[in-house]
Amino acid sequence: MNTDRFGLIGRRALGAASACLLLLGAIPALAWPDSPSDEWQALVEAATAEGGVTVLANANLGDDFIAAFSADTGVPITLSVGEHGEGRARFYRETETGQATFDAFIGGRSSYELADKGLLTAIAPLLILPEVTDGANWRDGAMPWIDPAKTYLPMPIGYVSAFVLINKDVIDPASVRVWDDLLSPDLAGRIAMHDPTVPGGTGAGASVSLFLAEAKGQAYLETLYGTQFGETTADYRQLVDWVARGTYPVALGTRALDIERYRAEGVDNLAVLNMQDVPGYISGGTSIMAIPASAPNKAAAQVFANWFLSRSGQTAFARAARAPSFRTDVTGGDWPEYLNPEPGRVYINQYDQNWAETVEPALRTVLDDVLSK
Amino acid sequence: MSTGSILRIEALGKGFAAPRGRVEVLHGVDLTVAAGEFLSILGPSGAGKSTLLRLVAGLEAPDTGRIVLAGTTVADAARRLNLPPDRRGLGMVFQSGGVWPHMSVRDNVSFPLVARARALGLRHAEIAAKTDEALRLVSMAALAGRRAGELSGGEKQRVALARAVVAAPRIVLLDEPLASLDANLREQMRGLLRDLQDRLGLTFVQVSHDQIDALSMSHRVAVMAAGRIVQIGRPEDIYRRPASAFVATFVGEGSVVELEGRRLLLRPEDIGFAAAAPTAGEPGWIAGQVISAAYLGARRRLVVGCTLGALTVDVPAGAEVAAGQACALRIAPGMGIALK
Amino acid sequence: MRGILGWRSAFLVLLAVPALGPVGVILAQSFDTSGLGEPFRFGVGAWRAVLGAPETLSTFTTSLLLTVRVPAGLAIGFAIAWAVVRLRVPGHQVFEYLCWFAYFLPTVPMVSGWVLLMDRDFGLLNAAVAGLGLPAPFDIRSPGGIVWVHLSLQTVPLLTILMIPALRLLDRTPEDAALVAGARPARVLGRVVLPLVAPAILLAGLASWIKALEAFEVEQLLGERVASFVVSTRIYGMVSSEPPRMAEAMALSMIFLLLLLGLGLLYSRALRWRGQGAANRGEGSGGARPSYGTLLRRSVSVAVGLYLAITILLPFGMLVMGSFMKLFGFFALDQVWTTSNWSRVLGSASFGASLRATLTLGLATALPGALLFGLIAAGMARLRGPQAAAASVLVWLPWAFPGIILGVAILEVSLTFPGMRMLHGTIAPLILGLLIRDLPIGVHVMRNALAETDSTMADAARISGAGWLRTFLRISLPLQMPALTLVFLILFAGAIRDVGTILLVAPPGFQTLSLQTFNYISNSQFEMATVLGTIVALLALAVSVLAHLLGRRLGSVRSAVGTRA
Repeated sequence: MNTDRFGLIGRRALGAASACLLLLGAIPALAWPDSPSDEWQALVEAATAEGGVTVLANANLGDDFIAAFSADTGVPITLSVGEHGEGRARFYRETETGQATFDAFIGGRSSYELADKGLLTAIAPLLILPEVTDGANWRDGAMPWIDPAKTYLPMPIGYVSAFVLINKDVIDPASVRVWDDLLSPDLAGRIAMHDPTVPGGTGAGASVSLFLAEAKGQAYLETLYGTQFGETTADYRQLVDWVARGTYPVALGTRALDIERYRAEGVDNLAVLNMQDVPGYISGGTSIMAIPASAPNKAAAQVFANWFLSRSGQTAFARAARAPSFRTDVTGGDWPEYLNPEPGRVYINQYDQNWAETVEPALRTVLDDVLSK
Repeated sequence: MSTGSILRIEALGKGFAAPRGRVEVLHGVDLTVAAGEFLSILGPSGAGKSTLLRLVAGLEAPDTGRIVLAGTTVADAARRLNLPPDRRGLGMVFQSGGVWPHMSVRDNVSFPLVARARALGLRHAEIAAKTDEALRLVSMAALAGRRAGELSGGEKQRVALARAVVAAPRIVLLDEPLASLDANLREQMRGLLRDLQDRLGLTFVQVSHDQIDALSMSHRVAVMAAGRIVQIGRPEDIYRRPASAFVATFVGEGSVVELEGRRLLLRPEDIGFAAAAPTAGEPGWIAGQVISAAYLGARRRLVVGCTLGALTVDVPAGAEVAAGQACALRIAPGMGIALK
Repeated sequence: MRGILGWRSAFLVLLAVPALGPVGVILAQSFDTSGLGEPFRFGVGAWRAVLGAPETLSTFTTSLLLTVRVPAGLAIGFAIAWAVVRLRVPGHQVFEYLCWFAYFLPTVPMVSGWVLLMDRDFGLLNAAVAGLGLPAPFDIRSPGGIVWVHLSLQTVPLLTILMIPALRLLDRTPEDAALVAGARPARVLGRVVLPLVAPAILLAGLASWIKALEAFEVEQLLGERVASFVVSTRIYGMVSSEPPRMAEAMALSMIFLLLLLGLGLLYSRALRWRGQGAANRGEGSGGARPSYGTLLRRSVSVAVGLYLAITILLPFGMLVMGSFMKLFGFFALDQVWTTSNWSRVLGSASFGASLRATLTLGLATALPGALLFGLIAAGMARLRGPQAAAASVLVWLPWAFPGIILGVAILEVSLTFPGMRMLHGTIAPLILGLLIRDLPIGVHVMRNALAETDSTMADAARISGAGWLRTFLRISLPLQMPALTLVFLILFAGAIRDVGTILLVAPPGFQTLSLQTFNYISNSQFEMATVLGTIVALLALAVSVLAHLLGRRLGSVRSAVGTRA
């Protein structure tokens, strides 16, 4: 859709000028990817001529992510904050009405129905970089997708969730090793939890609760909510703060981002524990990419998709998100160890569409029942 | 003053919505104004005088009746016609002047010429000349460059007057132009208005609740009450031959008495006064006693109690009269205004 | 004559578009039961879900209960306004300025200032009380905390600003007569001043109550521990669901709007009734009261000064302090303070872009908006009878729109109306939303200014031969310049601080400082948020100084041109 948008004329002029310069060889050839094919070169030129790519994503990605994409591809990028609540609403409405103002959306597992209705662009056919399509570069031999057709919604990031955060000055880490330890009378009313009723339904509180409902059953969940939880909050950082201060020495549903921020600033009483009986589930965080069928800059979207799933893109994203990528060649980032899935272990993937459609509804009924009491 | 009419008002009616229902302010008013005439509309507050003026100006639309200005119908309720004010060729002076404080005196006065330049075919030089002339007429030429917001009340009224006359309007409307001025300034402005009217031969229609303003400047006076014109005539006729008790008591001072089977209004200046009780048998004199004596500068106003009641009497300022003093009053035969 | 009737009708239709357009869109969408990507399908499923949910009643109840701050705010605001205008206590100009400052301050970052003071776990005031061996008395995230934040940052300053003009216009003669007759100041206040300004107080209270019902940002940030959300946060929750429950959000919005519109109608009716009543204006308005003793004036000055310092300057100071903390609210670190938050924010590429976006949006909204509202006010002045009444109602209706609902409506309009689709992705929908939101207050300021100006000014121009446009440009507009500039500043400040209205329609890459702050807070990056909040507050400081000076100049212009005859 060729509409006049804020800055679009300027960007297109810049894009056209850059394309010309590139053609004339005035811009030095980019170092990425290694040995780009003619098809890729043409795609990048087309993307530049379009004026660049607009991505709706989490605010935490920051300037480094933008800089990495621009340095690798030379294509202008506009990163717009859109993963949070109202951003999702906008993503849905624009995609639904075929008037997307963005080219790619990176967020949670929110897009199954859009894919089923044909409102998204199939990403699999767009992937032309060998390092992206080569299964050897991915754990388990193939890039993970959350839609059954493995076409629309790639999930390049995967980390273990449902770890337990404790204040080790108050609680002995050795006393919390399996999930049943959380039912100890000593911890009655001393555990904080992320609010499972946060709109969206896929916040950590809800996800952990569904995991526990599946792994430990309704009775376990009822005891947790009935006697062990002191308070819930929708604020992820608040949970970490409570634990650090000892207000609630144990917390479920925390984010690694917040924990590591506190640690970096010198708070040293935080301990993160993966339960030994059922260590948790796999979460894709906010790494699911979707391209609306009405994306205004198709070539730019394709360039971004390929880059995002490449080693370079995943390195940048994993650093920003502080979570491990499924790529085998993305290592050594500063995400904490407790997020890494154990090799060989089978985890529940709550982002998988099959799981979401066949298993989750029953678990939600259990959770609703528990919360109503 | 010419004999042709410049303004004709026929059966004009106007009402306004009020919290407790509609209020009719004008009831079928008929009025004709001759070209070159100075007509004053006099009446108490709420009589409808200002409403009538605003209808003539085009600032309100009539509910009934019509207004014909210089032979052209400018308002007709039956046809829902109401020509806007800027197309009626009028000038107006408001009680507060309506002078624009952010503009200079010159710009204020030249504004009507500038606004109508195309219609009147005026060039810049002509506009300047006419502006200067108008400023000279009101003795404000020296302050032409001053911001109007910095002027005194009297100066503002002069500027307003110059602005009202500069474009040679068909009629100059004056809405209580002297009400906000002190006594001395009022006298000066009265003189200026009379002088301007004489020199320029313009038609002036003034609304006022002040009798002196109305009687002293006008060729004719129309007295209004409760939305109607109750009498119209020369000032002397209004004063000496009021058509009703209302006009008689509203215009001028007086005492109402029953004398020889008739109800009479006696003006203060019509009653003779003697500072001693009448001698027995002296015909035409009535014994009385001074109730109060007020010194008014040019004269002394007495209230005297007698068999006819309490009468208001004017005596020369130098007369030594005190309250409680016995006195005699004389009412000459034929004096007094018979009231219906 | 036919042309004039046509003009008036066209004017009313144009006014009806921003007033009723969003309502129409929301109503229509509330009956859409179609699935994702499907065409509109009429149904009442959303209404059934909303009306059948127990949370609906509880959120309305909570919204209503939290408006208890309005009568408290009226009392405090009136006391401050009386002290500033009638007592003219020492420092009265500073006090009036502080109220303007508070009005222009961005709400979201200022809340963080109160959090630092009154958080249950780490608030400094609680820590101080706990140090005395007493239990911590304050919890900013409780209903009481929410009421306090509103009262201190918004309710009292706004009501004070609304009541100051009414007190300023009050004829001093009745007050002087009471003092001469021997009444003490308290009796004068209660028996003379209060009854005379009661209509203005009630009107201000009604306006404030409407705003209190639709409040969103503070409740969203602090209200998650409250058992029930308020209506506006519940609507936001529905919009933020995955997938968004738009039809239900619209149905709930519609119920809310009907309530608020009813109050808005009442308000506009009350305004018209007041305009027909005695204005209580006279020659002797304002001025010092030498009869009020020095001791009284000084005591009141101290009380007012303390109150404003505690409620406005203290949280602002905390906001600035928070921007220098390594970990927001964490005082137990070896090194608590840092300047790195400032260097990270100021050094980020997004800051420069956000600053430019903020100024662009502010100017693009305020410049045309001020002129437009001036024109609307001038047009309304020429209406009579039922048309005037209809225009008054239409102009005030947007007062009842919560920002989040307005934002949703603007998004829907720009996505579904053919004529508006071209504008989707530009900043035009943002400007439209902001102008609709501020239409009531902007036109209200201009109408008051026009009403306070002697109407004979315009009449004299018309009689002198000037048409409507020349009269507006040469006479009305220059005379209203102080009021126009004030409206400009109100619009500018509103644009730079708004979040709810523009959240859903800001084009990609266009992020104002307030939006950026909101996003930081949503991601719990309070340190960055307080830096941006301080910057926006400093911008607000500059705007509030100008607005305050203009507010005073409006008074002097009023006296120069004279009150209405």
